[in-house]
This record gives sequence, C-alpha cells and structure tokens, in this order.
Amino acid sequence: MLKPIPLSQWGDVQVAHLLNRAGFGQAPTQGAPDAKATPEDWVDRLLDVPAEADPADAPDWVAETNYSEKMMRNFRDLPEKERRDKLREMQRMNRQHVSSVREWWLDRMLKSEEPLQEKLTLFWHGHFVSSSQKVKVGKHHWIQNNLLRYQGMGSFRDLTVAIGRDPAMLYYLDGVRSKKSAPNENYARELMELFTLGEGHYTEDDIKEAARAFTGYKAGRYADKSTLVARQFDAGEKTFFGQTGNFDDEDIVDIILKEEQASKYITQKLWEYFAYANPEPQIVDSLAATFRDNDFQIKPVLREMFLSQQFYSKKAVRTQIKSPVMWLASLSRVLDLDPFPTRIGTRVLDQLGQELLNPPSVKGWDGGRAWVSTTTLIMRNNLAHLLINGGNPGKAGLGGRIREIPQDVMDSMSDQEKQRIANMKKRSKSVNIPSFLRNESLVAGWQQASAKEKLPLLVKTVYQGPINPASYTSLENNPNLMLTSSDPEAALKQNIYELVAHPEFQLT
Amino acid sequence: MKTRREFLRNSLTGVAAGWTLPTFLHNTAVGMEQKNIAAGVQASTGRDNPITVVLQLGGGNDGLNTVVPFAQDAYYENRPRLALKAGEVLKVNDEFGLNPNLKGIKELFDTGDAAIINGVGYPNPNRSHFRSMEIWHTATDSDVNGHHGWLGRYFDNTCTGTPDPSTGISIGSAPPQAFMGTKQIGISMKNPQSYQFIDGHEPMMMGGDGEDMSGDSIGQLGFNAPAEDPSTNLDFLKRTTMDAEISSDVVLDVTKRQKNAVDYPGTRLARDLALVAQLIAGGMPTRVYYVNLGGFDTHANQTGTHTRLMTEFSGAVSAFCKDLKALGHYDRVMVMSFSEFGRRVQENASGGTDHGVAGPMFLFGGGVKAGTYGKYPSLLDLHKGDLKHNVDFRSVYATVLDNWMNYDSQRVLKRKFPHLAFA
Repeated sequence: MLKPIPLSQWGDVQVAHLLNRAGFGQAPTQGAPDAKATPEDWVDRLLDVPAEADPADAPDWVAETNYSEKMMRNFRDLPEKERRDKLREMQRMNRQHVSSVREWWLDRMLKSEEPLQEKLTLFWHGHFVSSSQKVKVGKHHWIQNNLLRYQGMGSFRDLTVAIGRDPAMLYYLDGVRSKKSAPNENYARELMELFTLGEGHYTEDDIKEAARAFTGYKAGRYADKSTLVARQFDAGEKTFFGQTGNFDDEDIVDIILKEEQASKYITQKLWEYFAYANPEPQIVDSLAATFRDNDFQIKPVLREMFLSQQFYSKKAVRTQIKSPVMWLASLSRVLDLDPFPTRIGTRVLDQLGQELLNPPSVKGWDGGRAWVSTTTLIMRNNLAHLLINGGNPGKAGLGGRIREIPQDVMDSMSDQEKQRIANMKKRSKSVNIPSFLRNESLVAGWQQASAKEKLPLLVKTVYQGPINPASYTSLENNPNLMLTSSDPEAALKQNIYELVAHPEFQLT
Repeated sequence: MKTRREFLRNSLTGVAAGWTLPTFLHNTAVGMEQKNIAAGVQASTGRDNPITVVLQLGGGNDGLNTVVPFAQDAYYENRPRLALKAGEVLKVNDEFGLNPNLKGIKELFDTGDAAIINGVGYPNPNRSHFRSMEIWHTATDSDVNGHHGWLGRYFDNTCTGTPDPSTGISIGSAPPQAFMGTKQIGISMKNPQSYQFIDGHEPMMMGGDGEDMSGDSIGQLGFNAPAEDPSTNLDFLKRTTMDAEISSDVVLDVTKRQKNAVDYPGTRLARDLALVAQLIAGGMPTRVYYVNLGGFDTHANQTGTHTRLMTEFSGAVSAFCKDLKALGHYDRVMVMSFSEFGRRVQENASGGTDHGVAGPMFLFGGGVKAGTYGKYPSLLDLHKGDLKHNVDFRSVYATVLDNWMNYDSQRVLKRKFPHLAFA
C-alpha cells in the first residue's frame, strides 16, 4: 500500500491537482466536498459514479426503435443511380451519427458531472482502441463508449471479456471475419501486445491458439450486440501459456490475468496516464498487488493512487503535458462558457491531433511530448486566439466549415454581437465566430483588483495554481500584457491570450 | 506588438555556436540577425544534401489504367468499358504504355528523368484503404499493426540531440502517419499562411524588452537546459515554442523571397509542389517532403475522374521538375509516387473498379536512373481476381534510403530488402 498523503499536506494546490488529473479541472457538479473536506472525501466522491447509463442521456437517434431496420434497408434491387444515392445518404447518416457521439461525449467531459468517469473513459478509449476509419457505425461507437464508461472502474477481467465481444471491436480488429475455418489473429495479437501484457510476454503460438478461442462472435452491420455462432466457433483443444484445454474467450482472459505481468502492465499504464511517466518500481508493485488482491477491480487501484503521497509529489504536480481534450477543457474553464459549443470543440480536437473515436492507430495516442510539435503549438495558439477574440475560423485552420453558430452560444451573445453575426450571414455563407469569453466573475474581479493584484488574478484563473518562478518573471516582463488599460474587455482578451499562449498553459 | 523576429535580430549577435537555444535556429538561421535570412540559411545547409518528395495518390489509383498493358488481351476482356485503346496509349515499350493524360510524365521518361516500377505491393495484401495505407506508412508486414512511420523512424535515427522540426515537411493539415516518430513528427502546413501565428499574435513567452537579451539573460529565463535533453516538460515546451516562432518566420521569409521559376497549372497538387520547390530553393534544410493527391477511389464512372487526376498528377510533376531545373536543385531531388493499392482487374457494373492490390510506382528527378523496373504482372495469373505483386514496396523504400538518402535502410525497415537499380 502506498503511503497516503496526510491531511497536513492537503490544500488548494492538492485539490486542484486532483481535479486536473482525475478529471478536467473542475469539481463534480453534484455533491462536491466543501472546503474542509479530507483527501478521502474528495477521492471517494470522484470514485462514486453511476454503474449504468441513464437512457435519457442518449442522443436522440440512438433511441430510435427502428434504428437497425432504417439503416439496414436493402438497396440491391433499386436501379443503379437510386442505389448509389441511397448508399451515399446512408454513409452521410453514419458520419453524422459518429460526429454526434463525439459531440455528446465531449459535452460530458466538459460538463464534468462525473469527471473521473469521463477521464477514465478517455483512458480506456486510448487503450481498447476502435477507430471511425474502420468502424463506420455511430451506434457501435456509442455502445463501446458506454461499455468503457460503466465497466471502466469495475472488473478489468469482465471489461476485457466484454470488449472482445463488443461490435465496434469485432469490426475494428476483424473478429467479424474470424471463424473456425480461418481464425483471424488480429484481435488475439493486440489483446496480448497492447491490452494486457505488452510486447515480449507471449509467443506467436500463443497468438495462434488464442485466435481460435475468439472465433465465432459475429455482429450484424447495425446490431446492438454480438452473438456467438456455434458452428463458426472452434471448440477444439488449444494449448495456451503451457496449459491445454477446450478454451473459449473467457478462459484465455483468465489465463492471461494469472500472469503477474498483466497486473503490472495495466497499473503502470494507469499511473502514467494520471500521474507521470516511468514510475518507480515500488509504485507499480504496490498498485499491481492491490489490483490482484481485489480480483482485478480498477476502483481500489485508483483510490490508492489518488490518495498516495507520490501522486502529489513535485514530480507529479504541473508536470504533465495537456492532451488536446485537457487543453480545450482548461481553456473552456477560463472562458467560462457553459455549454461549450461542442461542434466547434470536436473540430478543434481533430486539428490538434486527438479526434475522438479516431485514434491514429490501434496503439492509441502516444500522449506526453508527442502532443507537442511546432505545428500543434501554432495551432493551439491560433485556436485559443480565435476562441478568445472571435474571428475567421479559417485562419485558425478550422476551415470555412462553420456555417452556424450553435443556438446556446447565440443565446449567450449580446444584441450587438447577434446583429453582427446576422449581417455577416447576409454577406457570405460562412460566419466569423464571436468571442467566447463569457467569464463574468473574472471581469468583475479584474475591475476590482488593484494594479498589483491583476497579474496574480490572471495567473490563478488561467493556470489554477502557482507556476514556475522563471515563467512568472517572464510574464511580469511581457510588454504585451495590458495591466493598466481602461478597457477591461480588450485587456482581458489580450492578457488571457498571452497567458494561454505561454508554455505554462500546456502543463497541468 | 513585439515580434519574435525583432527579438532575434536584436539579441543574437555574439551568441556562441552550440548555444542551447532551438536547434532550428542553430541549424538553419545562424545569420538571423542579418537583414537577409537567406544568407544564413543557405550557407549553413549547403546544396548537396539529397531530398525526397513523397507523392501519395490517395484512394487506390487504378494502376492498370495508369501504366496500361495494351499488349495483354485479358486487359480488354476484363474492361470492355474502361480499357484504354492501344492507339491512344503513350507507348513505353511493346508491352505497356502510359495513360494518354500523362504526357508530361512521358516526356520525363523520354528524357531519362523517370523510372516506372511495375507490380508493386506486399504479401497478404489488405483491401481496406485505412489498413493498407497504414501498411505503406509504417512499412511493416501486413499482419502487424505498426504505429510509427517509416520516415518517422528515419527522422528519429538521423537526428542526434534535440529534434529539428524542419527535418520533414508535409503539405496538408496534419502530418501523415509515415512521419510519426518517437521524437517528433515534422512540420505540416497547408500553406505558409497557416503556419503563422494568427494576426501576427506571436506569444511573448520570453518577456523582456529585446534590447538587452544576451545569451546569459536568456539562460536565466529558463533556457539553460542542455541541448541534448531538455530535462523537464516545461523546458521542452519553451524550446518547441521558440522553434515554432522561428520556423514560422523562416518559412514565411523563404516563401516571400523565393519565387518559382516557371508557371504551374492551377491545380491543388501543382500549388503544393510549387510550395515545395520554393522551400527547397529557398534553402530549407528539410530532407523529406510529403504531398498528397486524393480522390482515386473510383468505384463508379471512373473515366472522367481518372482522366482529371492523371492530368493533375502529370501536369504538376512536370512543372515541378522544370521549376527545380531552372532553380538549380533538380539533381538533388527525387519524387516518389505511390498509392495504397491498385484496383481490380475486372471493371464493375458501375463503370468503375473496386479495391485491388498491386500497382505501379514512379520516381522522378535528376538523380533517377530512368527505365522500367519490376515485371509487369500477368493478367492471366491472378489471385482472387487481383494482380500478383512482383516488387515489395519496401524494396523501393530501401533503395531510396540506401542509395539516395545515404542512410542504412535496415535501421528503418528492420530487415534487408533487395534494391532496384533506379538509384
């Protein structure tokens, strides 16, 4: 058991760190602990999440009773041209559904009703990868996303078995083509190489034998779940990790999890996602032991991690490079725009290299320093400039694709802004977007703050905590900051951009 | 508003070589404080280094209607609607010829500046765009899901010390998977304007008033980490921010100063290649460029689309070669074109073709040993209706790496592939 952080070391910085890492920088909207809360209060609140989906949360099209029928319409007998048109229409609908899942999920992450649950779902999405490049059906993404969300804190064993039967995964790693007469090894290989053990901890023969055990699960093109087709399942004898038997998919997962390496592999990956890279061996050993002792439940591992002293060490606090999702979430907090226009947000993520439901390969996103290149830094800054100041989305790389300002954003605009948008629409098809800065408490605080208090207020708002002293000095010396302007709105836009464009903002 | 350029012009005088600031600056813009960046750029990079331009034909180009096997009867039997007549094909030899819209490319072939490689593919081909493209980009066996790209591995292996973001430039909104390395992914830009800070709003992360920013005071501001390994993520971010600011300035300067020497057609590919020519002639130290022409997924009514694409391909490459020749860089540039797969031998009922496997590759440039390589696949010896490949695409990569880029291909491709004689 890792040594827990004592109450004496618990303060604002630690709470902010926990919320940044176990979520998206904000406390849960319901039942957040108060100022006197202990580390346990906070961590237990974050871990206390619903175990199943509320049907009311689903996007409208998901609930359509004739969804599958509607999508399955058979066009084969139609004349050539009509058939092509219908197919195109269906492809368009599929793309819309996938976008809809993206926006739905981003909205959940930014709203942070259950921040840890969403952050962990993002972890699993980068772990048990499926990509819209290959999985075209929106509903499959939605089903997999909920599987990751509602089983993500439970038994890793059950989650792994379920993901092997999940329609999106069956399509993504070719399980739908895998049958007794021709087992496909794609899933079996990645299960061991990426999902449970890591490279070098299994043999090619293990892959071949496991592939046989995973045969037979089929999912229709628009089906909600897969079914086992008995005659396509290879029920014969297999030898896997030195054991012989008539193994099926569950047996394979159980045998893998008996390997100590599996418990180390998954707990190290969790630590690296939430805390920092290359953890000390004793951290991994401790978390792996907890994992095994608790029947491969994820929740006790997370609890130990978030309560440990190491999680709040210098090595951890404000050292992590923000993923695009995290970057967007923290920017939306600074702007205080609720709800954030997710149609724009998902495009921003695409630009920055983290398009949801479309990781670059089966290995997910590299993360860490791989998020950062000269190109992505220029894009981050230009997108921040656009969202803070408004302007032509094309200039920030979003293309002329934004033709509608979302209604919720329209509602939050001043009459003057609304008029400006209306005039623009008359002139051209695409519109400039307005400034998304809606942070009224910041504006009020700014006006009340004395000259000396202004920079500290900005730093606290934008970075949510103390920054590197050299960085602070560089801000003090920044000639572009407007600390004495009489126009608070102009000053805030300019200043927030300067702070967001500073390398400190890329860290959390 | 203070700009990065002002700051650099004011502060770099007297800074010693080996200074720990961005590699980009160190490698390319030593003479940055001079009025004309060109002098610094060109002096420090030289004109000797070979350059490879990868031209991706996305969507699966129909190889059979690109390099046309007019002497095989089976071609006409399988493609009653789509086959190109023997009379209109631009004949290369008695066996095959080029699509009639590839006039510019035929000229390059006739002048000894183009190589055609027939029947390129890989074992156990995959007919999914996504997956097959991934195989070409990662250069792994088709049953292995690779992650890092072959060019990314080349960047990783060639760069010692701090990564240089300008090693590879892709023209487009995002870097191709081929560029993905463990250390960096190069630069990608749609055009020089998009690789700029919006409205001139460069962040001023350094602070200070520029006038007295000596190397020492920069060190105090957090730039004192050793060049090889910026130890913290904050150091790394500061360095990359500086790289971004400087490289965006250099790109803009180079493209403003360096003009193309010939007119290009009005197509997107031509515009992208014109930009590559500007960057090369303008003295960028970049060794690999990546451009893309999409739209080859011709499942229906292929002829019109394919004609347009062939015309765009040929016109852009032809202008690019002429331009480089006029600018004096032709002999150090090699263009390599590929597509993720060819298309089926038999046309479909919609006047198009479905996903196939093997297809041709082209190489262009002053350094190419012109000719035809690889045996043209027989249309009578098919595997499930598809051509069988005769050349593994990694043989082409290996030849480019070993014989053109002067770099041991085994470090990138993990094993030895036989060379072809085009380089």
